[in-house]
Amino acid sequence: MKIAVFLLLLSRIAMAEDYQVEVDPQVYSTSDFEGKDVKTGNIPPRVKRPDALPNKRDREFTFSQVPGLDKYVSPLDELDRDVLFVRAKTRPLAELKKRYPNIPSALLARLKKEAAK
Amino acid sequence: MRFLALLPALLLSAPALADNVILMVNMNYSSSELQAVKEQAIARSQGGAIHQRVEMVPPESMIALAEPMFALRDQLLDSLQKQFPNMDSLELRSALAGIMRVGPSWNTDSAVADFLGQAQMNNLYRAAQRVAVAEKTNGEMYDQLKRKAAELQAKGDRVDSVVLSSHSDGSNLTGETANRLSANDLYRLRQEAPSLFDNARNVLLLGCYNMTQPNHRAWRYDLFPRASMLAGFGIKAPSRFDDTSPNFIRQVMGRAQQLDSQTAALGHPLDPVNLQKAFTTLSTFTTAAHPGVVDYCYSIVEGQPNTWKRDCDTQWADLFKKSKVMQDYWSLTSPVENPAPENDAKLRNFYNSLQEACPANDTNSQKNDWQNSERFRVTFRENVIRLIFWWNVQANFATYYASDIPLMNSRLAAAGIRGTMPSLDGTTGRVDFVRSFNAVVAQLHNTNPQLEADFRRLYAPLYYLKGEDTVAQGEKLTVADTLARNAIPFNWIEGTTVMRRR
Repeated sequence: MKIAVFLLLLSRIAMAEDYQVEVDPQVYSTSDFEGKDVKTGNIPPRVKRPDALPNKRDREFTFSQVPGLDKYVSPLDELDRDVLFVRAKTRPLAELKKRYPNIPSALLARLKKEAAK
Repeated sequence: MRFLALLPALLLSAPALADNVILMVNMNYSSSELQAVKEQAIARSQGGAIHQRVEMVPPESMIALAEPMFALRDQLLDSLQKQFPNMDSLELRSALAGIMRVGPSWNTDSAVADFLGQAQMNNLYRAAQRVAVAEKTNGEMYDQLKRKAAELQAKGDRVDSVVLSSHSDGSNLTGETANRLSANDLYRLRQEAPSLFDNARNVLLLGCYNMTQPNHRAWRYDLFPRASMLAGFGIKAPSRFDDTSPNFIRQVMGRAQQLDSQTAALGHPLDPVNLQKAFTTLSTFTTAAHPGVVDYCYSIVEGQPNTWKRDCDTQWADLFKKSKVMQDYWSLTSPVENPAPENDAKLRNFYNSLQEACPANDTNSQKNDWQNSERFRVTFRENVIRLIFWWNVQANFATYYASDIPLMNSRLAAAGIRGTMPSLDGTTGRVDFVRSFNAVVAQLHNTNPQLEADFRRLYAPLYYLKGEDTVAQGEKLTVADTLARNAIPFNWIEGTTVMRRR
């Protein structure tokens, strides 16, 4: 596994000698980079996007919170389950009803509510 | 268990006068496996109103050509291994494959060529050529199966059971000659020749890895949702030259027939304990080297623990191995495979394997570096889902940039760039797109850095097909923001909706 971890952002700003260092506070302290002509700050906290593909455990937990849904999602593979989950988080109920006509509307509404949590 | 309600109806639905066919897709021309299947057809016909027979694809007559060739090849391999004990077996096999392809003029390794001599090399070459010519006449496996489906339908025959014998990576089937049947071919056949799949009662999958959890899911739900039984091997399948394989056919098909009859007679589900016992008492089902897995009416029975649901270390090792093969799709320098236009079963299976793999921090081999392993999973999942929906993604991209693309084309033309980017109207393959992108960049590189930067910036999201898992807290989420990070918005994968131009 050779995937670079995003540790810090180093960028040159308006004044030629000034640098701004943005640090991931979970990895470094800003004090490690303080110095002459260097501005330091923390990278703003990042959050999961609503349309990010879900972690499997989170997705299954959400599905399990909707009684009766299992019957409809058990034939779906991982891909279709993920797509259903993201749609439930991001798409209006009317669209969900059109896309999943075999799932009762009440279950879709409940799923939408659970996915938003 | 929900399938059990359908089972009696399925078992009784055979038209009374029609023959029942066991379809054997015998991609390595095994006569011993075919014999075992034929015995089952005879056993099933005895005392019944329905006569069963076996239909083989490719034609059964191929066995007489192929088996002597395999026997000669294996005999030569044996002598080579004795003569060159320090040479890797794969090298020797590759030498023989070369001789089968090129003939007695083959001389990649002169010691091997000298040892075999012209006469033996010529014999092997001629045998291989006879098979190759016949296979060319037979055509692709996909076409042969489509023809077989039409032929059976014309006669009013019904496919009662299916036996698939081949090498396999779990979803694609390969023979030792030119026979190939990809996961995508199977998926297309299910749409175009449903009679091969819809009534299949018992299905045997005799390749490796077919019955691991993610692969099994595709076979069960995408191909054979109505079968009472799917059986095969979770990990390594036995060689066709080993007695285990034909005996597995005899024992498992025989047991399925008994259980189907019992279920139809009882009209209710079999007791799970008895079901478990019904298969684990079969000697070929529980071997340590080739443990079987059966899905009987959606209940899974494993020949050995962790055969169906493989242990976490094996899952991750397989994932890394598979990701290298998938390079054919997502190589940024020389991709060779386009996602299938409707639904790419190979990519879908890979996506499913990614999601099925255990959490990295529960996996011994990944524990020390689990965050990076999870990052690998997230990144690949994002790429793969956008590749699966490549055809929609490109159409959405072209609509959104409907003004920018012609402008870029004019700038390229004015700069004297030869060749153009293909139109992204939902029909351009990924391979064409990447090749054209790289060709333009190669011409601009070092000659027109500004235009190169603009060109790269415009097409980067479609080139990299990244997703964007996280965003800074409070950040506004727009298509423009996502594209600015070279990522593709998730809703661009949607099948029918083409998003508006910017």
